[in-house]
Amino acid sequence: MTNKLLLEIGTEEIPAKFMEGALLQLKNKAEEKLLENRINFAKIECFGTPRRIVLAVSDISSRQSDLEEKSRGPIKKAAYDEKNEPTKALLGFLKNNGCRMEDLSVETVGGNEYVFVKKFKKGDEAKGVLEKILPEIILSLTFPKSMRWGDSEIKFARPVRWLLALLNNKIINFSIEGLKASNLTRGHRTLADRNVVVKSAEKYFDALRKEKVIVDQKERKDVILKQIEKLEKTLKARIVVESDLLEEIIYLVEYPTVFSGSFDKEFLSLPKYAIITPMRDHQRYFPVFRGEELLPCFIGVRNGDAGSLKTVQKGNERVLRARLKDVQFFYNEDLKKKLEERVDELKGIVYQAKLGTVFDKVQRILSLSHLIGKELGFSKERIPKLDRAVYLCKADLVTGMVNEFGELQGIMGKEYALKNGEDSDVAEAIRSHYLPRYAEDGLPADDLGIIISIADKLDSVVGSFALGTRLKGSHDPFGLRRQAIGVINIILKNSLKIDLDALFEAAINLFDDKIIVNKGSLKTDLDLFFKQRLRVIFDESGFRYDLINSVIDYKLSDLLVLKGKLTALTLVAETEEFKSLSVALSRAYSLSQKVANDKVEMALFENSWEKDLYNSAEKVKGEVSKKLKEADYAGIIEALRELIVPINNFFDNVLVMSDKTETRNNRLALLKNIEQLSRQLCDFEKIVA
Amino acid sequence: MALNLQDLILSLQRYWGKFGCIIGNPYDVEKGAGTMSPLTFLKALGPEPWQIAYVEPSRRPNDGRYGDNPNRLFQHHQFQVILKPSPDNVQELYLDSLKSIGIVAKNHDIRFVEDNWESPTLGASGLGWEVWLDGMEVTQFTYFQQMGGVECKPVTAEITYGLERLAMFIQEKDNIYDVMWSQNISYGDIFHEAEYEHSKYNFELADTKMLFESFNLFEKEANAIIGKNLVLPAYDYVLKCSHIFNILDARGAISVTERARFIGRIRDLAKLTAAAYLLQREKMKFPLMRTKKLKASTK
Repeated sequence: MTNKLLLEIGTEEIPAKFMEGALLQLKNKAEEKLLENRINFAKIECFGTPRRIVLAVSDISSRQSDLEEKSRGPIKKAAYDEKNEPTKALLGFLKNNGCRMEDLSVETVGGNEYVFVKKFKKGDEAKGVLEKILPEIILSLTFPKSMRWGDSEIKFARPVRWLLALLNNKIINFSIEGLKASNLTRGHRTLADRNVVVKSAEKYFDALRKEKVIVDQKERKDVILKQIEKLEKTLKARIVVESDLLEEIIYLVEYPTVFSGSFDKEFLSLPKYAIITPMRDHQRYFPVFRGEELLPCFIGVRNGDAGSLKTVQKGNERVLRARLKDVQFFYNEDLKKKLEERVDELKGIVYQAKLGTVFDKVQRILSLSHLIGKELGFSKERIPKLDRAVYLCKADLVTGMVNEFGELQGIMGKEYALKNGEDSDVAEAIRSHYLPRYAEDGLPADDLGIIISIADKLDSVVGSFALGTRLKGSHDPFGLRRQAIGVINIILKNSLKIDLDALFEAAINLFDDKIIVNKGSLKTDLDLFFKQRLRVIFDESGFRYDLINSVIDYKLSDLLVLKGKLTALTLVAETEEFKSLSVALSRAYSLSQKVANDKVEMALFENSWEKDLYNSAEKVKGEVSKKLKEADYAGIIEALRELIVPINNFFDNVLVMSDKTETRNNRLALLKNIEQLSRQLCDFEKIVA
Repeated sequence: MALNLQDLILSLQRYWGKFGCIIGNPYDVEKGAGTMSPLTFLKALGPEPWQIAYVEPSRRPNDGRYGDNPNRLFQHHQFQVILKPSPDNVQELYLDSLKSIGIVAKNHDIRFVEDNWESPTLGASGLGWEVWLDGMEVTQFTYFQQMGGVECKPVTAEITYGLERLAMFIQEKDNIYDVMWSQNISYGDIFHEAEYEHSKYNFELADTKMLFESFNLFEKEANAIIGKNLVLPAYDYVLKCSHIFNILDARGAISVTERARFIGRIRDLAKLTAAAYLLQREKMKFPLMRTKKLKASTK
């Protein structure tokens, strides 16, 4: 029989959203600690329910593996006296290590001979080691928020109430804060509220199953999905299971039972989102559709079995009815006032302390939008629409619905705008300018939305940076990374010719006296921040990192140019000819980068190789600037290829570092010209040949 | 016949009284939540054990709906249970208390859903849950971590039952005003007019100039009294400041920036009071520590 280890940390209900992170930490930490302590195993698995965090290790070795260790003793000369008898130093060394003369060997280290002993340490029993490391593993877990309870000194996500630790059928003895590990677990809170003896690690899962706890989250997920599938057939409808919500529910229940309920048809006159959002956010229900039509039903998941399901359903229906009544109230109240009448109220809403009100932000968005519109050659006739969309774009922030359900910003704005008889393009931009709202979200597809979205996001990023905000780690409360990525993706996706660098300047000027950091460094920081995002985007599109490096350190005046260069480089990067080009140019860079002078005097040429390289460069120069204007980056590479032979000939036949200063400087200047020429495309030094 | 609201209160009092709690009474200064009673706010501070249960009428001017909304009230009633230090079986005790009002856990869906509590005016925060009963939030469950800016040691567990919600659940009523308070008097009979009048006053009529002046006066008085080491009278004025702030907020008389400033002023007072209270108890050598020994010896 193989050994099994089972650790269960019994807790009060841990927040569902902590669970995934906690299980991952547990797995990594357990692996690290076991290996560190020379205990082998086949597999580590972690499980979680609202009330337990579980570690299961299979095929764990009964003992630590033995340890062979070598220790170095005194230098050989000091170990033996002239009669070749052991000295005091050697005897002391042997004593300290508990070894005898026959354990000795001699090895040479750094030219000197030393005596060594080989020590053998027999591995301890795993159980004893586990008694030491299990509490360490438990206490190493961290959570987004942790707490103290009672008189405890330790912190955990929620109070720890019991510990079960078994190696096969033996209890692993340890305790944390007076809580002793045992072979006792607890059943489902309401269906089997009792202590249960688990006879062995092997029997843990089945023992709990009998107590109405399904420990494995994957199994709970399957159970839920199967029941939902069944309900879909009964209801002849489609249940939309949002994966985020499902992941949360899995960690809210130990024994899931899916149930359906219904609500009054009159609520269906509300916008779809106004129904689905409170159902999801407040009650954790899934919506039900037939085709595209929302049905007056909901699907909930109960933490319990099928007993008294009608009572549970009725209770939930009553709660939802109250919620939807509230929504209906907000919606009807909201409709009593037009969006345009709300714009003034934005003066009372602080956008970010020190950056003024949302109304101020809208004014800044307007200025930036005009600038972007102008750059994109936006037609004059559409300017009034753009103005109108900007004017209204934040007005829904002071509606009851958005106050209650923040994520409906924009969505309710569009809804209300249409009800107010606003132009449909204007209404759509009110919605779409918020996109993308999260990593996988869509981008605005309408011209007004695109412009306002870029303006809004730039304003947010520049504003935060102007106040000295710098992002560290994953902490990003204003979603600045997402917004910068949004701006870049909108530009790239729609191939917009926008001078981002100039927009930084304009956005900075709009904040003017509110900026508390140095304006020069502010722009450098913004540039760096966007470049980091751009690097990530390029990287995720599969571009080679060295090629990205070679193009990214340029001004952000046109992202399309960067992308164009990168695409052209990628197409040829694997060819032998390009490799020769980049090797040849790297040779030039290695000398030229240290000099600034680029004035070449033909009179100082001493041989044809120099002349030849010079002439080729002059010829290529014209070609490169022509292709650059045409945004033909493949053409530039093509042109640069003409330089391979002359560069190589030059290096093979000319001694650059001549004794004559004038000649030397002239040759370096020539190479400087070559470098500058190639840099119009990219930094070849960054390319890995 | 489903439990009426006053029997609900009596049952909970009996349950927690039997457990060993003092059965307290509402504190006679206006407040937004049971936590603000000195019987919670101050007693959660320091090392002394404390167990109490009491009903607390809680005023929230912003939540008033003129008596028109079936779920929202200017004033609701909390049943507050304070257990310090938090016992190991506190959740089980709570579920047991539900049984005492006729709610058998296995016939329902009971969930502890993460909900963290923070009171910027009290300089207080805690972690815990809202308890869902068939989808309805009926109780707030909190482990205090900080109170008046001071770390709570030991940690207090606070159980706050929403009496109206519970009564609606038990009596299966969709409208709070239809809930029966006693055998033949409804919630509406007692409170409907009050809901209308307070909503009308808070939203439309409250004299903001008088209230701003009062706020300043009360704040000054609180500071002065703390200076004389009188904790409880000072704290009464802190509560008054908090309530006046809530009315001004409902009245729309406080802009967003001012709002943060007002909250900061109240928090400063709360912190001063907390510190003064701790000092006072320390001077008294924390007399209630004896109840801890008492408990240990009966084990």
